[in-house]
Amino acid sequence: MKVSLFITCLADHFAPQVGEAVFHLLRRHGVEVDFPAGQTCCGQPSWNTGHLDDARDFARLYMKTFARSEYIIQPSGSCAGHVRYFYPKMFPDGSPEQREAAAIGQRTYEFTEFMVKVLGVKDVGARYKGKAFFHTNCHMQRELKVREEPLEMLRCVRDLELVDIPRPDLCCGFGGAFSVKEPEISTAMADDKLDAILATGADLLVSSDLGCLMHQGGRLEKRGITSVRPVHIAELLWEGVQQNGR
Amino acid sequence: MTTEQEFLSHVARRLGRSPEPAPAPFRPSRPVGPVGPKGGYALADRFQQELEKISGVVHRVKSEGEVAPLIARILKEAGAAGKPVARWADPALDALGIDQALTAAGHPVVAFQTGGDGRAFVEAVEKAAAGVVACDAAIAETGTIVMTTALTRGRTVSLLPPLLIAVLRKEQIRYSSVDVFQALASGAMPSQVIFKSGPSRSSDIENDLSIGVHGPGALHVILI
Amino acid sequence: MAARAEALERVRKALGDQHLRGAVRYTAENLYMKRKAAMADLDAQAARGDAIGNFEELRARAREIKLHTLAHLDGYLKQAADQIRKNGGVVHWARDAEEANQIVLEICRKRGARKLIKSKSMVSEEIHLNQRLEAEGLEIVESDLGEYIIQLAHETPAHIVIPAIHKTRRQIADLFGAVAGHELPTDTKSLTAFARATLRHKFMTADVGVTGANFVVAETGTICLVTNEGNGRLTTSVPPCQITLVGMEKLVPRLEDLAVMMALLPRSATGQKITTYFNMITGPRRPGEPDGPEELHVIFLDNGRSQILGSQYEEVLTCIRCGACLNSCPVYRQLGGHAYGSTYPGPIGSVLTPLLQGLEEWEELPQLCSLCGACHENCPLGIHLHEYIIQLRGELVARGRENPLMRTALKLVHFAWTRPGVYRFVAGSAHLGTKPFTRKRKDGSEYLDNLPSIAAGWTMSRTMPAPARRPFHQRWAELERQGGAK
Repeated sequence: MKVSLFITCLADHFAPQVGEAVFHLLRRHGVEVDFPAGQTCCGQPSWNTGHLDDARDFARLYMKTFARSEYIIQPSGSCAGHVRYFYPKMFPDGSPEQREAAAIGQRTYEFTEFMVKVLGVKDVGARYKGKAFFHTNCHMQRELKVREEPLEMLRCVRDLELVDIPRPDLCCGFGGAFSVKEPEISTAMADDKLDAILATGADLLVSSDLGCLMHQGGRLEKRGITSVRPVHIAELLWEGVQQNGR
Repeated sequence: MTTEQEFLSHVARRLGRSPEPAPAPFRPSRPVGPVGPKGGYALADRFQQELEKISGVVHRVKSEGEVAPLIARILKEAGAAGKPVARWADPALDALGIDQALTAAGHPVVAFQTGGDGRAFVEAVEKAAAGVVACDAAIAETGTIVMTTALTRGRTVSLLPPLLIAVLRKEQIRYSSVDVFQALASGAMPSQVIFKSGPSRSSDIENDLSIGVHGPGALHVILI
Repeated sequence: MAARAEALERVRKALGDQHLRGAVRYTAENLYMKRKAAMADLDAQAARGDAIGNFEELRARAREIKLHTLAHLDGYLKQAADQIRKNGGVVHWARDAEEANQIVLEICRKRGARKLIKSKSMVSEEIHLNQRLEAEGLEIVESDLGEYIIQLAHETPAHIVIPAIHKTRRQIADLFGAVAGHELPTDTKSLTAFARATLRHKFMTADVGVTGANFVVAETGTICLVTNEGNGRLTTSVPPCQITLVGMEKLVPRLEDLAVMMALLPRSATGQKITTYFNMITGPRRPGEPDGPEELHVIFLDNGRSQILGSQYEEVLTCIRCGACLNSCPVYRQLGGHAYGSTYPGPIGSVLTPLLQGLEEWEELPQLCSLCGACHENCPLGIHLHEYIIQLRGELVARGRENPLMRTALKLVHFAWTRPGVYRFVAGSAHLGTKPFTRKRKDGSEYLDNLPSIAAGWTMSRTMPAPARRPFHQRWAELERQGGAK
């Protein structure tokens, strides 16, 4: 089986180790991985801020870059959700571009979604001691409807305890450009979420989405809290595999 | 002032066509099917269960003869001694001998006479300690009683006094509101149809539940 | 830009009011959880064959009913009007708020009416009816307990369904006490009893009762009122004249369509299977009836709705004003209704208000959204509010209504990132380019702080990771050697 990796602009710039983790985990399960060089960004920042034609350009670039990919794996529920749910809505009903957009959405997967639903892998053989809260990104929950898969993978991590908060579905306040356009509201939303997480005693804040992690992690740091490590799920799983001596 | 023709033409224009004299009939792609338990006792039990959940009181009686004395007892327990009681002037209640029981218990009866003064009636009802009505139907799924206006009933009887006593026969209970709406559609609409589900309530004060805000704070249903 | 400055000030004020935020959070959470439980219960009922459908099925049915109605709205309005008249009512048509207010004033003038009592109506707030009538020396009293409280406080609602959530019982007791002329206890029972008695007197002496309409059934011309308190009933039973204001989109074709709508509305709004009262009013009192209004006037209102018809936003007119979107919105949860500054707050307000009253005047509203999609998920009509927010932002951008710095940044991103070569160059230089803002942690790792310009909004409350010296795509060649595919 061969897949293409879409690294996402955030991981490319700020967390390349996430891409490495995804690569290694896929390789361990016999999956060949390629990396089309022309990839840049899914275009969500343009779409969400109302730069709709610009967003269409990004969609076309993605469709062109991954035209020959059978599976496109993304370490982001947000970007995968944008591709699958919004790309088809950018083009006129019944147009060839819309058909292509819908098709590529069906071939695009968030990382844990792919691991569990396509590869059938929940246990990657990881060991990681800690108390983790998994934050599900909004697009991942609602547009992709992927809720259980990351939790199923984390439940298989030896020595890892999962905790929950009363309203895990509530948006953390990142919202892309919202985080800088309405910074006070964005921060208030982060604080509510973080206060709930801190109350559980968790030392790990895990997510499939770097935007959410940067926002919540950055807020924790500004608040002077060092007891919680924000970490991408792929990174945690790969570290766990290496720690398990396999 | 905008005329009907101007208003509707504008709407039609926005819909990209000329006004239609009548709307296309609505046929849902899947009709709503019959639901819920059938049969008198199952429906009665379900009705009681639902109404009690929302603070209504249900009294089950076996015969019509039990109704009037029960009403007198409810009024006594509610501390309504000597106070006037309003009722629908309606054949459904006339047959139950309620007036005799009420008068015997010392309650003046307020009922509307055809051709009487409506406003005086309303003011008398406003002072009554309780209203007594007969239901036209009930909905078991939600513990709802259905009342309609008709000439001499008086919609305020079930509304102004703080206590409402409603007489219901189990044959009148339907499971779902669909049945009631379909039944209403088959005839002419009365001026008001009232679905009442439990006593009047509000959570406007600090999200705390208040009972008896504008309508009756107590609802007793006598189920024959 | 005055509208924008006012909008920012409202948001800032809301965020700074800890009491309000606590009340909003409590109320939204309470109603959200109740709705969730009610829908789970409904789905369980449906699985047993005890309900006419589960949530998804009912939503599909409701959409069908409402979208069909909108597609034939002129026909249904005509049918409703004919039926209302047949049953003895009078029908009026108001193109806009001013016309609606004029019609009400004229009806009052003809009857010599000075005192009105109102059952809850969002449309009446939309047209600022109270202010208009009071300016002409008429008295109009709110009978919904929450609306009465905020009327006494001279405030606007903080929530569509529970308007006075931001008021403490102490504050309510003080407001009622001012009316009573003496101090009142603060327990719920006493306060309710006072409101009941005071408003009961208003009901008994009012010349006109004003209502809105949750639904109007076209086939019978029937006005439907959904309340828990009974004020809808009182308003339509005691005063000698009734005026009902109806947003023209409130129609449904048949009586039995109400079964679907009423299965959804109470559950979505408060988690109840049904509200205490559901009234269906067809015409004024019939000759010989002792009570009920002698005159019934129905005013169908456009006020911008026809502009939404036939547009890409038409679905927004299927809204039944349940408030579920407010209760599920993480932004509303932080702000409450006042911050939006409009009759309709929250997700529905952020879309409806600009469409009804002008996008440029209300350009801040579509910004009050993180695009989480919870509104759409919870909406009983499945309205795609989260998509319309984006479309509205698109219209603002097309009109040049955007922070120039943000616009420049996004244009630069578009330019650079649609060109893979440029993208790679920028990504590779990011670490160097952000050096002036780079700080070191104790463990030697790096982060960014005190970013300039629009990015300052981030670092005012958060740090940012430092860009990697070598972005992922520069590491690919090495990974490939380790065992990637060609």
